[in-house]
Amino acid sequence: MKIVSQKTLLEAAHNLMFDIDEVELEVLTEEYADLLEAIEQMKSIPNIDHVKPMVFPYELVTDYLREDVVASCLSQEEALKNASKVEDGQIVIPKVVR
Amino acid sequence: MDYLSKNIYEIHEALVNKKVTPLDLVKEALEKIKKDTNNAFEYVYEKEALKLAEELSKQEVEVDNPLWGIPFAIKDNFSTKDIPTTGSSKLLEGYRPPFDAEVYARLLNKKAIPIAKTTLDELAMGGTGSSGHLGKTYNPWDESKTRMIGGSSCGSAAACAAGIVPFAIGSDTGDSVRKPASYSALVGFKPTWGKISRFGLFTFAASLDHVAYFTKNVKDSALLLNVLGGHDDKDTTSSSLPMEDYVSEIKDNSQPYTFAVIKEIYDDLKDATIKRAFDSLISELKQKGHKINTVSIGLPLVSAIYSAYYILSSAEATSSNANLDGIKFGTYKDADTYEEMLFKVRTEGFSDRIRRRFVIGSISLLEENQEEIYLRALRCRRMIVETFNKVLESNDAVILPASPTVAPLFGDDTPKKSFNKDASVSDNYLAFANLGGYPSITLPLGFEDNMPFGVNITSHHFTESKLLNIAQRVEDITGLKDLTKK
Repeated sequence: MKIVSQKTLLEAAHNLMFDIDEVELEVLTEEYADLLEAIEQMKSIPNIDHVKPMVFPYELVTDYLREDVVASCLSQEEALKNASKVEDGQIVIPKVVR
Repeated sequence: MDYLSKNIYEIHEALVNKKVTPLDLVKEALEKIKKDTNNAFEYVYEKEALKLAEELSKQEVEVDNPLWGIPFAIKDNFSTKDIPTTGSSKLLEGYRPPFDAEVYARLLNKKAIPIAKTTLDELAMGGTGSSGHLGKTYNPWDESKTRMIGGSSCGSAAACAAGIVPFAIGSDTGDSVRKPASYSALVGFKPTWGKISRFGLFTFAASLDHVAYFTKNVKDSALLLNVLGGHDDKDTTSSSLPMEDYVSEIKDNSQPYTFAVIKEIYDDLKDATIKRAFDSLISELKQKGHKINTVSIGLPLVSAIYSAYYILSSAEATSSNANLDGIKFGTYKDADTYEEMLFKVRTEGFSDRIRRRFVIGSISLLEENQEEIYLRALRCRRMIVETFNKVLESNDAVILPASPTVAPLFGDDTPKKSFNKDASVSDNYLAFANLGGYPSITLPLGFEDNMPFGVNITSHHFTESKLLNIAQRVEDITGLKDLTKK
Protein backbone atom coordinates (compact mmCIF):
# COMPACT_ATOMS: atom_id res chain seq x y z
CA MET A 1 0.00 0.00 0.00
CA LYS A 2 1.53 3.29 -1.03
CA ILE A 3 1.39 6.19 1.36
CA VAL A 4 -0.40 9.23 0.01
CA SER A 5 1.41 12.51 0.64
CA GLN A 6 -0.18 15.70 1.94
CA LYS A 7 0.55 17.18 -1.47
CA THR A 8 -1.66 14.53 -3.09
CA LEU A 9 -4.45 15.15 -0.59
CA LEU A 10 -4.26 18.88 -1.22
CA GLU A 11 -4.28 18.34 -4.99
CA ALA A 12 -7.37 16.16 -4.63
CA ALA A 13 -9.08 18.95 -2.66
CA HIS A 14 -8.20 21.46 -5.36
CA ASN A 15 -9.48 19.14 -8.07
CA LEU A 16 -12.74 19.04 -6.12
CA MET A 17 -12.74 22.85 -6.32
CA PHE A 18 -12.23 23.71 -2.66
CA ASP A 19 -9.39 24.54 -0.34
CA ILE A 20 -8.47 23.03 3.03
CA ASP A 21 -6.36 24.76 5.65
CA GLU A 22 -3.34 23.37 7.51
CA VAL A 23 -5.30 22.15 10.54
CA GLU A 24 -7.79 20.31 8.33
CA LEU A 25 -4.95 18.85 6.29
CA GLU A 26 -3.35 17.43 9.44
CA VAL A 27 -6.63 15.82 10.52
CA LEU A 28 -7.22 14.55 6.98
CA THR A 29 -3.76 13.02 6.86
CA GLU A 30 -4.35 11.14 10.12
CA GLU A 31 -7.80 10.09 8.99
CA TYR A 32 -6.46 8.83 5.70
CA ALA A 33 -3.65 6.90 7.42
CA ASP A 34 -6.29 5.22 9.59
CA LEU A 35 -8.28 4.31 6.52
CA LEU A 36 -5.24 2.80 4.79
CA GLU A 37 -4.63 0.68 7.88
CA ALA A 38 -8.25 -0.47 7.87
CA ILE A 39 -7.85 -1.45 4.22
CA GLU A 40 -4.75 -3.47 5.07
CA GLN A 41 -6.81 -5.27 7.70
CA MET A 42 -9.43 -6.12 5.09
CA LYS A 43 -6.81 -8.31 3.41
CA SER A 44 -7.04 -10.72 6.33
CA ILE A 45 -10.63 -11.59 5.37
CA PRO A 46 -10.32 -15.00 3.70
CA ASN A 47 -10.86 -14.96 -0.07
CA ILE A 48 -11.53 -11.23 -0.22
CA ASP A 49 -9.60 -10.63 -3.42
CA HIS A 50 -11.39 -13.45 -5.23
CA VAL A 51 -14.98 -12.28 -5.04
CA LYS A 52 -16.76 -9.91 -7.40
CA PRO A 53 -17.21 -6.32 -6.27
CA MET A 54 -20.76 -5.63 -5.06
CA VAL A 55 -22.14 -2.23 -6.02
CA PHE A 56 -25.75 -2.55 -4.85
CA PRO A 57 -27.17 -4.22 -1.73
CA TYR A 58 -28.74 -7.06 -3.71
CA GLU A 59 -29.00 -8.10 -7.31
CA LEU A 60 -31.21 -5.36 -8.62
CA VAL A 61 -33.81 -6.40 -11.13
CA THR A 62 -35.45 -3.54 -12.99
CA ASP A 63 -38.53 -5.27 -14.29
CA TYR A 64 -40.46 -2.37 -15.68
CA LEU A 65 -40.12 0.30 -18.33
CA ARG A 66 -41.75 3.66 -18.07
CA GLU A 67 -44.43 4.40 -20.65
CA ASP A 68 -43.10 6.43 -23.56
CA VAL A 69 -45.32 9.42 -22.94
CA VAL A 70 -44.69 13.13 -22.77
CA ALA A 71 -44.32 14.17 -19.14
CA SER A 72 -44.19 17.57 -17.55
CA CYS A 73 -40.85 19.11 -16.71
CA LEU A 74 -39.72 22.33 -15.08
CA SER A 75 -40.62 25.57 -16.82
CA GLN A 76 -37.81 28.01 -17.56
CA GLU A 77 -39.09 30.24 -14.77
CA GLU A 78 -39.03 27.36 -12.25
CA ALA A 79 -35.58 26.23 -13.40
CA LEU A 80 -34.12 29.71 -12.95
CA LYS A 81 -35.90 30.55 -9.69
CA ASN A 82 -33.03 29.42 -7.47
CA ALA A 83 -30.19 30.94 -9.47
CA SER A 84 -28.67 34.06 -7.92
CA LYS A 85 -27.91 35.95 -11.13
CA VAL A 86 -30.22 35.73 -14.11
CA GLU A 87 -30.30 37.91 -17.22
CA ASP A 88 -32.50 37.44 -20.28
CA GLY A 89 -33.55 33.98 -19.13
CA GLN A 90 -29.96 32.79 -18.61
CA ILE A 91 -27.74 32.27 -15.57
CA VAL A 92 -24.82 34.68 -15.30
CA ILE A 93 -21.42 33.39 -14.19
CA PRO A 94 -17.92 34.89 -14.50
CA LYS A 95 -16.42 34.76 -17.99
CA VAL A 96 -14.89 31.37 -18.78
CA VAL A 97 -13.07 32.46 -21.96
CA ARG A 98 -11.24 35.78 -21.81
CA MET B 1 -54.02 19.01 26.99
CA ASP B 2 -50.80 17.49 25.60
CA TYR B 3 -51.90 15.49 22.57
CA LEU B 4 -48.69 15.44 20.55
CA SER B 5 -46.83 13.32 23.09
CA LYS B 6 -49.28 10.55 22.25
CA ASN B 7 -48.86 8.07 19.42
CA ILE B 8 -50.53 8.45 16.01
CA TYR B 9 -53.47 6.14 16.74
CA GLU B 10 -54.23 7.85 20.06
CA ILE B 11 -54.24 11.29 18.41
CA HIS B 12 -56.40 9.93 15.60
CA GLU B 13 -58.90 8.62 18.13
CA ALA B 14 -59.02 12.04 19.80
CA LEU B 15 -59.66 13.62 16.39
CA VAL B 16 -62.42 11.13 15.56
CA ASN B 17 -64.05 11.69 18.95
CA LYS B 18 -63.84 15.46 18.39
CA LYS B 19 -61.80 16.00 21.54
CA VAL B 20 -59.29 17.93 19.46
CA THR B 21 -59.10 19.48 15.99
CA PRO B 22 -56.17 19.70 13.54
CA LEU B 23 -56.00 23.41 14.37
CA ASP B 24 -55.58 22.61 18.09
CA LEU B 25 -52.81 20.18 17.21
CA VAL B 26 -50.96 22.68 15.03
CA LYS B 27 -51.24 25.39 17.70
CA GLU B 28 -49.90 22.93 20.28
CA ALA B 29 -46.97 22.02 17.99
CA LEU B 30 -46.12 25.67 17.26
CA GLU B 31 -46.29 26.53 20.95
CA LYS B 32 -43.95 23.66 21.79
CA ILE B 33 -41.55 24.67 19.01
CA LYS B 34 -41.37 28.21 20.41
CA LYS B 35 -40.39 26.82 23.81
CA ASP B 36 -38.05 24.15 22.46
CA THR B 37 -34.35 24.59 23.24
CA ASN B 38 -32.92 21.65 21.32
CA ASN B 39 -32.11 23.48 18.06
CA ALA B 40 -34.01 20.90 16.03
CA PHE B 41 -35.59 23.05 13.33
CA GLU B 42 -34.46 24.52 10.03
CA TYR B 43 -37.84 25.87 9.03
CA VAL B 44 -41.18 26.04 10.82
CA TYR B 45 -44.38 25.95 8.74
CA GLU B 46 -46.15 28.51 10.89
CA LYS B 47 -48.49 30.15 8.36
CA GLU B 48 -48.74 27.14 6.05
CA ALA B 49 -49.61 24.69 8.84
CA LEU B 50 -52.19 27.00 10.42
CA LYS B 51 -53.85 27.52 7.03
CA LEU B 52 -53.97 23.80 6.26
CA ALA B 53 -55.19 23.00 9.78
CA GLU B 54 -57.96 25.60 9.53
CA GLU B 55 -59.14 24.06 6.27
CA LEU B 56 -59.04 20.53 7.70
CA SER B 57 -60.81 21.60 10.88
CA LYS B 58 -63.83 22.55 8.76
CA GLN B 59 -63.95 19.06 7.23
CA GLU B 60 -65.12 15.72 8.54
CA VAL B 61 -62.39 13.58 10.08
CA GLU B 62 -61.38 10.74 7.78
CA VAL B 63 -61.96 7.88 10.20
CA ASP B 64 -60.14 5.33 8.03
CA ASN B 65 -57.08 7.55 7.60
CA PRO B 66 -55.07 7.66 10.86
CA LEU B 67 -52.68 10.28 9.42
CA TRP B 68 -55.45 12.81 8.74
CA GLY B 69 -54.66 16.07 10.52
CA ILE B 70 -51.56 14.71 12.27
CA PRO B 71 -48.58 17.12 12.44
CA PHE B 72 -45.21 15.71 11.39
CA ALA B 73 -41.63 16.88 10.88
CA ILE B 74 -39.31 16.00 8.03
CA LYS B 75 -35.54 16.09 7.73
CA ASP B 76 -34.26 19.03 5.72
CA ASN B 77 -32.69 16.84 3.03
CA PHE B 78 -36.11 16.03 1.52
CA SER B 79 -37.27 18.30 -1.28
CA THR B 80 -40.38 20.27 -0.33
CA LYS B 81 -41.81 22.48 -3.05
CA ASP B 82 -41.23 26.22 -2.42
CA ILE B 83 -40.17 25.53 1.18
CA PRO B 84 -36.53 26.29 2.14
CA THR B 85 -34.47 23.10 1.98
CA THR B 86 -30.82 23.33 3.01
CA GLY B 87 -29.60 19.86 3.96
CA SER B 88 -28.25 21.87 6.92
CA SER B 89 -25.50 23.10 4.60
CA LYS B 90 -24.43 26.71 4.32
CA LEU B 91 -24.03 26.08 0.62
CA LEU B 92 -27.76 25.52 0.15
CA GLU B 93 -29.10 28.38 2.23
CA GLY B 94 -32.02 29.96 0.42
CA TYR B 95 -32.74 27.01 -1.88
CA ARG B 96 -36.42 26.31 -2.45
CA PRO B 97 -36.97 23.09 -4.44
CA PRO B 98 -39.39 23.21 -7.38
CA PHE B 99 -40.90 19.80 -6.54
CA ASP B 100 -41.85 17.52 -3.65
CA ALA B 101 -40.09 14.37 -2.52
CA GLU B 102 -42.31 11.31 -3.02
CA VAL B 103 -42.61 10.51 0.70
CA TYR B 104 -43.59 14.09 1.48
CA ALA B 105 -46.16 14.09 -1.32
CA ARG B 106 -47.67 10.86 0.02
CA LEU B 107 -47.99 12.36 3.51
CA LEU B 108 -49.60 15.52 2.11
CA ASN B 109 -51.96 13.31 0.12
CA LYS B 110 -53.00 11.66 3.40
CA LYS B 111 -53.61 15.16 4.82
CA ALA B 112 -50.92 14.87 7.44
CA ILE B 113 -49.70 18.37 8.32
CA PRO B 114 -46.02 19.29 7.86
CA ILE B 115 -44.98 21.40 10.82
CA ALA B 116 -41.20 21.69 10.44
CA LYS B 117 -38.11 20.88 8.43
CA THR B 118 -35.54 19.49 10.84
CA THR B 119 -31.78 19.83 11.32
CA LEU B 120 -29.25 17.23 10.26
CA ASP B 121 -25.53 16.69 10.12
CA GLU B 122 -24.52 18.58 7.00
CA LEU B 123 -25.88 16.76 3.92
CA ALA B 124 -26.64 13.74 6.16
CA MET B 125 -22.94 12.91 6.58
CA GLY B 126 -22.15 12.38 10.24
CA GLY B 127 -23.45 10.84 13.42
CA THR B 128 -23.09 13.57 16.01
CA GLY B 129 -25.92 15.96 15.18
CA SER B 130 -23.46 18.82 15.38
CA SER B 131 -22.07 19.49 11.90
CA GLY B 132 -25.02 21.30 10.34
CA HIS B 133 -24.86 25.04 9.62
CA LEU B 134 -27.04 25.77 12.67
CA GLY B 135 -24.68 23.95 15.05
CA LYS B 136 -25.49 21.32 17.66
CA THR B 137 -28.89 19.71 18.05
CA TYR B 138 -29.44 18.65 21.65
CA ASN B 139 -30.94 15.53 23.15
CA PRO B 140 -34.24 16.31 24.95
CA TRP B 141 -33.45 13.55 27.48
CA ASP B 142 -30.33 15.42 28.60
CA GLU B 143 -31.19 18.61 30.44
CA SER B 144 -27.50 19.52 30.83
CA LYS B 145 -27.25 19.93 27.02
CA THR B 146 -23.93 18.13 26.97
CA ARG B 147 -25.01 14.92 25.22
CA MET B 148 -25.75 14.45 21.55
CA ILE B 149 -28.88 12.89 20.15
CA GLY B 150 -26.84 11.39 17.34
CA GLY B 151 -27.14 11.93 13.65
CA SER B 152 -27.53 12.51 11.01
CA SER B 153 -31.32 12.73 11.55
CA CYS B 154 -30.84 14.71 14.77
CA GLY B 155 -33.66 17.25 14.43
CA SER B 156 -36.29 14.67 13.51
CA ALA B 157 -35.30 12.54 16.51
CA ALA B 158 -35.32 15.54 18.86
CA ALA B 159 -38.72 16.75 17.61
CA CYS B 160 -40.30 13.33 18.10
CA ALA B 161 -38.59 12.63 21.46
CA ALA B 162 -39.71 16.02 22.81
CA GLY B 163 -43.34 15.28 21.94
CA ILE B 164 -43.62 18.02 19.32
CA VAL B 165 -44.68 15.53 16.65
CA PRO B 166 -45.76 11.90 16.97
CA PHE B 167 -43.63 10.91 13.96
CA ALA B 168 -40.80 12.38 11.94
CA ILE B 169 -39.18 11.45 8.66
CA GLY B 170 -35.41 10.93 8.39
CA SER B 171 -32.90 9.19 6.18
CA ASP B 172 -30.49 6.40 7.05
CA THR B 173 -27.30 5.80 5.04
CA GLY B 174 -25.17 4.23 7.81
CA ASP B 175 -27.35 4.29 10.94
CA SER B 176 -28.71 7.86 10.81
CA VAL B 177 -32.15 6.99 12.13
CA ARG B 178 -31.51 3.77 14.03
CA LYS B 179 -28.70 5.17 16.20
CA PRO B 180 -30.46 8.45 17.19
CA ALA B 181 -33.54 6.32 17.98
CA SER B 182 -31.42 4.40 20.48
CA TYR B 183 -30.29 7.66 22.12
CA SER B 184 -33.79 9.11 22.35
CA ALA B 185 -36.16 6.23 23.33
CA LEU B 186 -37.84 6.10 19.93
CA VAL B 187 -38.62 3.46 17.37
CA GLY B 188 -36.40 4.06 14.33
CA PHE B 189 -37.23 2.02 11.24
CA LYS B 190 -35.47 1.61 7.91
CA PRO B 191 -37.31 -0.75 5.54
CA THR B 192 -35.53 -2.68 2.76
CA TRP B 193 -33.55 -0.65 0.20
CA GLY B 194 -36.07 -0.12 -2.62
CA LYS B 195 -39.14 -0.41 -0.41
CA ILE B 196 -39.68 3.36 -0.06
CA SER B 197 -39.08 5.76 -2.95
CA ARG B 198 -36.10 8.06 -2.56
CA PHE B 199 -37.32 10.50 -5.20
CA GLY B 200 -36.59 13.97 -3.87
CA LEU B 201 -34.25 12.84 -1.09
CA PHE B 202 -30.85 14.55 -1.45
CA THR B 203 -28.48 11.82 -2.56
CA PHE B 204 -25.63 11.12 -0.16
CA ALA B 205 -24.63 7.60 -1.30
CA ALA B 206 -27.21 6.11 -3.63
CA SER B 207 -26.34 2.46 -2.99
CA LEU B 208 -26.73 2.95 0.79
CA ASP B 209 -29.36 5.69 1.22
CA HIS B 210 -32.73 4.69 2.70
CA VAL B 211 -35.80 6.66 3.71
CA ALA B 212 -36.38 5.92 7.40
CA TYR B 213 -38.48 7.38 10.21
CA PHE B 214 -39.07 7.80 13.92
CA THR B 215 -42.27 6.81 15.70
CA LYS B 216 -43.39 6.20 19.28
CA ASN B 217 -44.18 2.52 18.83
CA VAL B 218 -44.06 -0.41 16.41
CA LYS B 219 -47.68 -0.17 15.25
CA ASP B 220 -47.17 3.44 14.14
CA SER B 221 -44.10 2.30 12.18
CA ALA B 222 -46.22 -0.31 10.41
CA LEU B 223 -48.82 2.34 9.59
CA LEU B 224 -46.22 4.62 8.01
CA LEU B 225 -44.88 1.75 5.92
CA ASN B 226 -48.39 1.22 4.54
CA VAL B 227 -48.39 4.83 3.36
CA LEU B 228 -44.77 5.42 2.34
CA GLY B 229 -43.90 2.00 0.93
CA GLY B 230 -44.60 0.71 -2.55
CA HIS B 231 -43.39 1.26 -6.07
CA ASP B 232 -42.68 4.69 -7.51
CA ASP B 233 -41.88 5.09 -11.21
CA LYS B 234 -39.81 8.17 -10.41
CA ASP B 235 -37.22 6.11 -8.51
CA THR B 236 -35.59 3.49 -10.75
CA THR B 237 -34.39 1.54 -7.69
CA SER B 238 -37.93 1.36 -6.31
CA SER B 239 -39.11 -2.22 -5.87
CA SER B 240 -42.18 -3.55 -7.69
CA LEU B 241 -42.78 -6.29 -5.12
CA PRO B 242 -46.31 -6.23 -3.70
CA MET B 243 -47.14 -4.38 -0.50
CA GLU B 244 -48.99 -5.85 2.47
CA ASP B 245 -51.14 -4.27 5.14
CA TYR B 246 -48.35 -4.14 7.70
CA VAL B 247 -50.62 -3.02 10.54
CA SER B 248 -53.02 -5.94 10.29
CA GLU B 249 -50.10 -8.29 9.62
CA ILE B 250 -48.91 -7.68 13.20
CA LYS B 251 -50.50 -10.70 14.82
CA ASP B 252 -51.02 -11.40 18.48
CA ASN B 253 -49.63 -14.91 18.31
CA SER B 254 -46.97 -16.97 20.00
CA GLN B 255 -45.07 -17.95 16.87
CA PRO B 256 -41.49 -18.75 17.89
CA TYR B 257 -38.70 -16.90 16.09
CA THR B 258 -35.02 -17.67 15.77
CA PHE B 259 -32.59 -14.87 16.59
CA ALA B 260 -28.88 -14.56 15.84
CA VAL B 261 -26.61 -12.67 18.22
CA ILE B 262 -23.32 -11.82 16.49
CA LYS B 263 -20.65 -12.95 18.94
CA GLU B 264 -17.95 -10.42 18.00
CA ILE B 265 -20.33 -7.49 18.45
CA TYR B 266 -21.81 -8.79 21.70
CA ASP B 267 -18.32 -9.47 23.09
CA ASP B 268 -17.35 -5.85 22.40
CA LEU B 269 -20.04 -4.50 24.77
CA LYS B 270 -18.58 -2.91 27.86
CA ASP B 271 -21.46 -1.02 29.47
CA ALA B 272 -22.75 -3.32 32.24
CA THR B 273 -26.24 -1.79 32.31
CA ILE B 274 -26.77 -2.17 28.57
CA LYS B 275 -25.36 -5.70 28.59
CA ARG B 276 -27.59 -6.66 31.51
CA ALA B 277 -30.70 -5.23 29.83
CA PHE B 278 -29.88 -7.06 26.59
CA ASP B 279 -29.19 -10.34 28.42
CA SER B 280 -32.47 -9.95 30.26
CA LEU B 281 -34.34 -9.45 26.98
CA ILE B 282 -32.66 -12.53 25.51
CA SER B 283 -33.68 -14.57 28.59
CA GLU B 284 -37.28 -13.43 28.25
CA LEU B 285 -37.32 -14.26 24.55
CA LYS B 286 -36.05 -17.75 25.37
CA GLN B 287 -38.69 -18.16 28.08
CA LYS B 288 -41.35 -17.33 25.53
CA GLY B 289 -40.13 -20.11 23.27
CA HIS B 290 -37.93 -18.18 20.88
CA LYS B 291 -34.55 -19.60 19.92
CA ILE B 292 -31.29 -17.69 20.26
CA ASN B 293 -28.18 -18.64 18.29
CA THR B 294 -24.83 -17.05 19.00
CA VAL B 295 -23.13 -16.73 15.62
CA SER B 296 -19.47 -15.96 15.01
CA ILE B 297 -18.61 -14.37 11.67
CA GLY B 298 -15.01 -13.38 12.45
CA LEU B 299 -13.64 -10.14 13.84
CA PRO B 300 -11.93 -9.02 10.57
CA LEU B 301 -15.27 -9.09 8.74
CA VAL B 302 -17.14 -7.32 11.56
CA SER B 303 -14.42 -4.66 11.78
CA ALA B 304 -14.59 -4.15 8.03
CA ILE B 305 -18.29 -3.12 8.12
CA TYR B 306 -17.43 0.42 9.14
CA SER B 307 -14.40 0.84 6.90
CA ALA B 308 -16.18 -0.52 3.82
CA TYR B 309 -19.15 1.71 4.58
CA TYR B 310 -16.93 4.75 5.05
CA ILE B 311 -14.99 4.26 1.81
CA LEU B 312 -18.05 3.50 -0.32
CA SER B 313 -20.23 6.25 1.12
CA SER B 314 -17.42 8.82 0.73
CA ALA B 315 -16.74 7.78 -2.86
CA GLU B 316 -20.41 8.01 -3.77
CA ALA B 317 -20.85 11.28 -1.89
CA THR B 318 -17.98 12.92 -3.77
CA SER B 319 -19.72 12.18 -7.02
CA SER B 320 -23.32 12.86 -6.00
CA ASN B 321 -22.50 16.28 -4.53
CA ALA B 322 -20.42 17.51 -7.46
CA ASN B 323 -23.45 19.51 -8.61
CA LEU B 324 -23.27 21.80 -5.57
CA ASP B 325 -21.64 24.83 -7.17
CA GLY B 326 -23.93 27.72 -6.21
CA ILE B 327 -24.79 28.41 -9.84
CA LYS B 328 -28.18 26.83 -10.47
CA PHE B 329 -29.15 26.90 -6.80
CA GLY B 330 -27.52 27.51 -3.46
CA THR B 331 -25.21 30.25 -2.27
CA TYR B 332 -23.48 32.08 -5.11
CA LYS B 333 -20.21 33.98 -4.54
CA ASP B 334 -18.95 36.73 -6.78
CA ALA B 335 -15.46 36.34 -8.21
CA ASP B 336 -13.37 37.38 -11.20
CA THR B 337 -13.03 33.92 -12.69
CA TYR B 338 -15.20 30.82 -12.91
CA GLU B 339 -12.64 28.72 -11.00
CA GLU B 340 -12.30 31.33 -8.27
CA MET B 341 -16.07 31.46 -7.91
CA LEU B 342 -16.34 27.65 -7.53
CA PHE B 343 -13.50 27.62 -4.98
CA LYS B 344 -15.22 30.31 -2.92
CA VAL B 345 -18.62 28.61 -3.05
CA ARG B 346 -17.34 25.15 -2.12
CA THR B 347 -14.69 26.22 0.41
CA GLU B 348 -17.01 28.54 2.31
CA GLY B 349 -20.14 26.48 1.71
CA PHE B 350 -19.00 23.08 3.03
CA SER B 351 -17.80 22.40 6.57
CA ASP B 352 -14.35 20.87 7.07
CA ARG B 353 -15.83 17.41 7.74
CA ILE B 354 -17.59 17.36 4.39
CA ARG B 355 -14.51 18.54 2.53
CA ARG B 356 -12.34 15.86 4.16
CA ARG B 357 -14.88 13.22 3.31
CA PHE B 358 -14.96 14.28 -0.32
CA VAL B 359 -11.15 14.14 -0.54
CA ILE B 360 -11.14 10.60 0.86
CA GLY B 361 -13.85 9.57 -1.59
CA SER B 362 -12.00 11.15 -4.47
CA ILE B 363 -8.64 9.57 -3.59
CA SER B 364 -10.34 6.15 -3.36
CA LEU B 365 -11.60 6.56 -6.89
CA LEU B 366 -8.29 7.61 -8.48
CA GLU B 367 -7.26 5.09 -11.11
CA GLU B 368 -4.06 4.19 -9.25
CA ASN B 369 -6.00 3.53 -6.00
CA GLN B 370 -9.20 1.97 -7.28
CA GLU B 371 -8.12 -1.66 -6.98
CA GLU B 372 -6.54 -1.22 -3.54
CA ILE B 373 -9.23 0.93 -1.98
CA TYR B 374 -12.55 1.31 -3.77
CA LEU B 375 -12.79 -2.13 -5.38
CA ARG B 376 -11.50 -3.84 -2.24
CA ALA B 377 -14.26 -2.10 -0.27
CA LEU B 378 -16.79 -3.34 -2.85
CA ARG B 379 -15.42 -6.88 -2.55
CA CYS B 380 -15.61 -6.52 1.19
CA ARG B 381 -19.21 -5.44 0.82
CA ARG B 382 -20.00 -8.71 -0.98
CA MET B 383 -18.29 -10.75 1.75
CA ILE B 384 -20.25 -8.91 4.45
CA VAL B 385 -23.58 -9.16 2.63
CA GLU B 386 -23.19 -12.81 1.64
CA THR B 387 -22.26 -13.66 5.23
CA PHE B 388 -25.29 -11.85 6.66
CA ASN B 389 -27.51 -13.36 3.95
CA LYS B 390 -26.51 -16.79 5.25
CA VAL B 391 -27.11 -15.72 8.86
CA LEU B 392 -30.56 -14.42 7.92
CA GLU B 393 -31.40 -17.53 5.92
CA SER B 394 -30.97 -19.71 9.02
CA ASN B 395 -32.32 -17.16 11.52
CA ASP B 396 -35.36 -14.89 11.41
CA ALA B 397 -33.42 -11.87 12.59
CA VAL B 398 -30.17 -10.53 13.98
CA ILE B 399 -30.65 -8.93 17.40
CA LEU B 400 -28.11 -6.74 19.22
CA PRO B 401 -27.95 -3.57 21.30
CA ALA B 402 -28.34 -0.62 18.91
CA SER B 403 -25.52 1.26 20.63
CA PRO B 404 -22.91 0.22 23.19
CA THR B 405 -23.48 3.37 25.28
CA VAL B 406 -26.13 5.96 26.00
CA ALA B 407 -25.86 9.22 24.02
CA PRO B 408 -22.21 10.33 24.04
CA LEU B 409 -20.97 13.73 25.23
CA PHE B 410 -20.30 16.33 22.51
CA GLY B 411 -16.67 17.06 23.43
CA ASP B 412 -14.87 20.18 22.28
CA ASP B 413 -15.19 21.78 18.85
CA THR B 414 -11.68 21.19 17.50
CA PRO B 415 -11.60 19.30 14.17
CA LYS B 416 -11.51 15.57 14.78
CA LYS B 417 -11.13 12.52 12.61
CA SER B 418 -14.46 11.30 11.24
CA PHE B 419 -12.92 7.89 10.55
CA ASN B 420 -11.00 6.16 13.31
CA LYS B 421 -9.37 2.76 12.81
CA ASP B 422 -9.88 1.96 16.51
CA ALA B 423 -13.64 2.62 16.43
CA SER B 424 -15.52 -0.02 18.39
CA VAL B 425 -17.37 -2.66 16.38
CA SER B 426 -20.43 -2.50 18.64
CA ASP B 427 -20.70 1.23 17.91
CA ASN B 428 -20.36 0.96 14.14
CA TYR B 429 -21.95 -2.28 13.02
CA LEU B 430 -25.43 -0.98 12.07
CA ALA B 431 -24.17 -0.06 8.59
CA PHE B 432 -24.25 -3.77 7.67
CA ALA B 433 -27.98 -3.24 7.09
CA ASN B 434 -27.15 -0.43 4.63
CA LEU B 435 -24.46 -2.41 2.82
CA GLY B 436 -27.00 -5.25 2.50
CA GLY B 437 -30.14 -3.11 2.23
CA TYR B 438 -31.91 -5.13 4.97
CA PRO B 439 -34.95 -3.90 6.88
CA SER B 440 -33.78 -2.87 10.33
CA ILE B 441 -35.52 -1.42 13.37
CA THR B 442 -34.36 0.07 16.67
CA LEU B 443 -36.61 -0.02 19.75
CA PRO B 444 -36.17 1.34 23.29
CA LEU B 445 -34.47 -1.22 25.58
CA GLY B 446 -33.75 0.63 28.82
CA PHE B 447 -32.34 3.63 30.67
CA GLU B 448 -29.05 4.37 32.37
CA ASP B 449 -28.96 7.50 34.56
CA ASN B 450 -32.18 8.62 32.87
CA MET B 451 -30.63 8.37 29.40
CA PRO B 452 -32.19 5.84 27.01
CA PHE B 453 -30.59 3.07 24.98
CA GLY B 454 -32.08 0.74 22.39
CA VAL B 455 -32.05 -2.69 20.79
CA ASN B 456 -31.76 -3.27 17.05
CA ILE B 457 -33.37 -6.05 15.05
CA THR B 458 -32.62 -6.73 11.38
CA SER B 459 -34.19 -9.30 9.06
CA HIS B 460 -33.81 -10.47 5.45
CA HIS B 461 -34.76 -8.40 2.41
CA PHE B 462 -38.45 -7.56 2.07
CA THR B 463 -39.48 -9.36 5.27
CA GLU B 464 -40.91 -6.22 6.87
CA SER B 465 -44.04 -8.02 7.98
CA LYS B 466 -42.01 -10.57 9.94
CA LEU B 467 -39.67 -7.91 11.30
CA LEU B 468 -42.53 -5.77 12.59
CA ASN B 469 -44.07 -8.84 14.23
CA ILE B 470 -40.78 -9.61 15.93
CA ALA B 471 -40.42 -5.97 16.99
CA GLN B 472 -43.92 -6.08 18.46
CA ARG B 473 -42.95 -9.15 20.52
CA VAL B 474 -39.89 -7.29 21.81
CA GLU B 475 -41.91 -4.14 22.57
CA ASP B 476 -44.41 -6.28 24.49
CA ILE B 477 -41.56 -7.68 26.60
CA THR B 478 -39.82 -4.38 27.37
CA GLY B 479 -43.06 -2.44 27.77
CA LEU B 480 -41.11 0.59 26.53
CA LYS B 481 -43.25 2.49 24.05
CA ASP B 482 -44.89 5.89 23.60
CA LEU B 483 -42.02 7.54 25.48
CA THR B 484 -41.62 11.31 25.50
CA LYS B 485 -39.24 13.50 27.44
CA LYS B 486 -41.42 16.14 29.06
